[in-house]
Amino acid sequence: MIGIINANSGNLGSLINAFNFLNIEIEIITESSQISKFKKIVLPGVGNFVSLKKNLVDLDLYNGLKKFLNNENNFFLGICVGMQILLTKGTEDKETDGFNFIKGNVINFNDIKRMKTPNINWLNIQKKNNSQIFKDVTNTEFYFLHSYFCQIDDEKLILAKANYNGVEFPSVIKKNNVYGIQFHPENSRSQGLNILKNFSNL
Amino acid sequence: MRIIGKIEIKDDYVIKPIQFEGVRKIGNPEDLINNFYNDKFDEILIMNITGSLYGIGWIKDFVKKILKKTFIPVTIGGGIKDVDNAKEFFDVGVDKIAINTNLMNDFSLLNKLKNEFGSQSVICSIQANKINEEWFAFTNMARENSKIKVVDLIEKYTKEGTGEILITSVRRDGTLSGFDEDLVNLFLQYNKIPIIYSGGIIMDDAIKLKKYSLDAITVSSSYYYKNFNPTEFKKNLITHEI
Repeated sequence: MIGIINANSGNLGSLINAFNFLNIEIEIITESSQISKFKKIVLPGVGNFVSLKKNLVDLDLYNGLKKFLNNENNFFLGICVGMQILLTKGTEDKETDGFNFIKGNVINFNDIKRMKTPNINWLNIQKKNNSQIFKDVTNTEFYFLHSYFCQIDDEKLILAKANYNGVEFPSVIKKNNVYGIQFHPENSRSQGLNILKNFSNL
Repeated sequence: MRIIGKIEIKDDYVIKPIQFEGVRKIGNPEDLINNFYNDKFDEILIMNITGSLYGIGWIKDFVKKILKKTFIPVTIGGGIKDVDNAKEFFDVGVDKIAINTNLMNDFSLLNKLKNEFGSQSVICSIQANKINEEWFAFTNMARENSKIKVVDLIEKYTKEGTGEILITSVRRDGTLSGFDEDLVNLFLQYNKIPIIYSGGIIMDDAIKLKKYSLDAITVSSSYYYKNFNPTEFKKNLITHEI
């Protein structure tokens, strides 16, 4: 059973459809008391860093998740902004503290050089590591939709990178059993579904 | 370049208008969306073409059903009046919504939708038609001229912040006569957010489109009638690289 955080983002539908298609049992988490029931939690993140943080705090989920992350036996998957919030600090709209579970900042592509954002593209990821999360993933093209990306201090935490307009950025990261994925597996055909299945099988 | 399969639905049938007129029946929506998915289109755009006239009706249930087995981004447009309408679609797994007529009637809708679902979930759609040497934005299935210039609208949407802009050449849509070079040249200078071009695309356009490096295009007629294939199209884009 996987818990999926509903942080009021309103865009959970496609992720739920993906898990249902894979026959993976899920439960939607809307309050902190539910968190302790789970060994595996997914934090989907649509929208922006500030609103995700605010919603998690307002719903009293933030501290519970922080505790969950710090237990090394727990498995966690953050998608898109759900990945970015694992870092020290976000810079979208205004500087906002993240979980600081992984050291680094979340910055805009335009902080590096002028380019179109959001990056809405199917991009190939370059695997740096043969993690279980990539099991049976032969097609490495995934759907990205984001303007900000994770700048991570410790290169060893990066399982895969991708490249948008010449800027390399982490597309999959991992620390302990906590995974962050910048692309949308729920929108990335069978290769994306494979990633979700692999997470469920960890 | 993303290649988006555009499917226009009226009642419970897929149709393909020409220049936004007529209702030639193409087929069953579920079958056609499966085909788009299996033929490796990057995304699917569903236009509920009588949406701005008759509302969102049955299409919600239909979308709910097809999204259970379609794992690429799906956008729905047509008749979305407010946050509640949009939420009904997002709840069943729609990834983005496209809005035109209702947005032009009340521009504050963009901010409301952005605040609720994030700017990346909203596509501002522009039906562009050239009148006396000037491109204007149209509403209500391209029936009414808003008198707002397309360039002004692009600037407005860019400034207010939206995930993408969809620009359709009304005079080319459904005509199988190739993309509208004049319109593409008009919006090419706007390079802050992705713009999706729609209208008249055929396989042969790959050669000419190389120099424009568009973010995304939509395809429907040439897929229904002329064996358009997204994988081949992309191959041609690369082959003709100079």
